Amino acid sequence: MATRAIIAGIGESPLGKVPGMTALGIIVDAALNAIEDAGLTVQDIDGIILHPAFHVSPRYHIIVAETLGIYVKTMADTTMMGGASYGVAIERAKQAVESGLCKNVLIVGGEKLATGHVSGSAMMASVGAHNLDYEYPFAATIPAYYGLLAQRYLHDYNADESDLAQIAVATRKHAARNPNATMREPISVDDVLNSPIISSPLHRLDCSLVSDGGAAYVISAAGTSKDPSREVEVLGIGQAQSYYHMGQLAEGKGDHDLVRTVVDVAGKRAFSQAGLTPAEINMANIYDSFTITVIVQLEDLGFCERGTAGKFAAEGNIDPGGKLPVNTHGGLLSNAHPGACGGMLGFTEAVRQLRGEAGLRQVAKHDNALVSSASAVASNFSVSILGAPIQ
Amino acid sequence: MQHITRPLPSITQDNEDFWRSTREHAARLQRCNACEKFWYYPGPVCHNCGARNWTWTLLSGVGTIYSYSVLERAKGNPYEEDVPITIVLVRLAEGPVVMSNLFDYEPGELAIDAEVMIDYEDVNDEVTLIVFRPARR
Ligand SMILES: [Zn+2]
Repeated sequence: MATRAIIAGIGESPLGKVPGMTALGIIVDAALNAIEDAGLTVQDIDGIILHPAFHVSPRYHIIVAETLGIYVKTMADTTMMGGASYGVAIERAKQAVESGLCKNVLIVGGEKLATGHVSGSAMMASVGAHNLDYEYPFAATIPAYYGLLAQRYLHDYNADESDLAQIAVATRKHAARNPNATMREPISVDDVLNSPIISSPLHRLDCSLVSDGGAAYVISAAGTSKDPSREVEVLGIGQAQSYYHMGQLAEGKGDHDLVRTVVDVAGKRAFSQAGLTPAEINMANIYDSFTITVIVQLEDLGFCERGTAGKFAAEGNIDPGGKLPVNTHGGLLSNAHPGACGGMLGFTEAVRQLRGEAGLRQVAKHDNALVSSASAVASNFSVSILGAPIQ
Repeated sequence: MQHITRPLPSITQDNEDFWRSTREHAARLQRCNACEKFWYYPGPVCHNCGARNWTWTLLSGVGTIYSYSVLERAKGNPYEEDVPITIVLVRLAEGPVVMSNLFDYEPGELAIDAEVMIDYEDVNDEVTLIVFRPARR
């Protein structure tokens, strides 16, 4: 029978402000936790994927493997896709396991955005997604890019800032149920609208946190981990990338432009492989660098009609207990956002939920979960649909 | 004009004709000899059809606002002290959409679809940027 790749183990390091650990220490901690969760040892790992941006070397994946003592790897890769990297990495790892290239692939990331020091310009340069010659001279920051996206969205759909704010409010309700989340105090739409503007129309509470932390997962063949009843299925996975330059993104092509993103392409592939429709998804962890990032993905993935995501959220659909709970850990907006690996926390949370190990915030129906990761002004996407362990 | 401490672009063989045209306050973009479309940003191939022959063509200087954002906080960036800065995406009459800054506008003039016109900001001897002001009739 053909080999089927599954998620065998997950791990996280401490999240939030972690001044007592280096980035390498955080990465190693997350990696060892995931390997232990899978019931494996470091010597069982024969593939590694890490996104080296923000780190001291473009070959940081090799440095991490040598720190862990993994001498021979048959795959060592980087998936340099910013926030989408760690979704794309699962697709790579799945292919490696199912083709026989690797037995157990470690996917790991960790960054020190809160207590390290990455200035805005250094971040811009190291992320590499943004145009340094034709955009950065005009004072484009990452929130400004998303501000341009949000303003155009509001115009096209006659929406207003309160529609964006609904996402932050709902996400905070989930974070309140996560004892490890950085921000747990409930907030209202007015709180969001009264928080300072960072880059219009985005307020501070429309923007994700800046955190330290790391996460990891191990992708293995079904039936090979310590406890197969905790192996999470990868039912479907897809990716899609468009452009980085905002003008070219805005000019668009075919059905796509700045506010009608290519996440639908990644989503259609994932839904088709999983044999599921958006209405059949139990919960979704949607990459939430900004509130607008969630809005466009909810619409483009088909969870609600274009222009209605704010209303969809205001009606309670994405709340705890709603039709489609979104970001049950509190997301990048309220839980933690340790840079490019922040999106991994959507996967680790989905795995906990699918195993029924999410404690106070366990969703009632947890047969499947959609996890998206995104980056670079909603231009890189990976969409995964994960399934509960087959008992 | 508002002062903004600007990160500077790199001038290369792919874009030196563009930056020469802005220094002369007569911006030109590549227009494809095959499909006749303009593209932005400058580069060694037609962004639309892949042809490698083009003509540097003078822009009309007019466009409309596609989107905008007023940057109010920019900690850690060289222009941190220069906020608020109005960032615009402008759809040029020739087709391409460019990122820039809008200056000297009244509140009602910062709006999607509002008409704007090119102005120039001489940053130093090498670099002149295309910026925009409202087009007032
Ligand atoms: Zn052409």
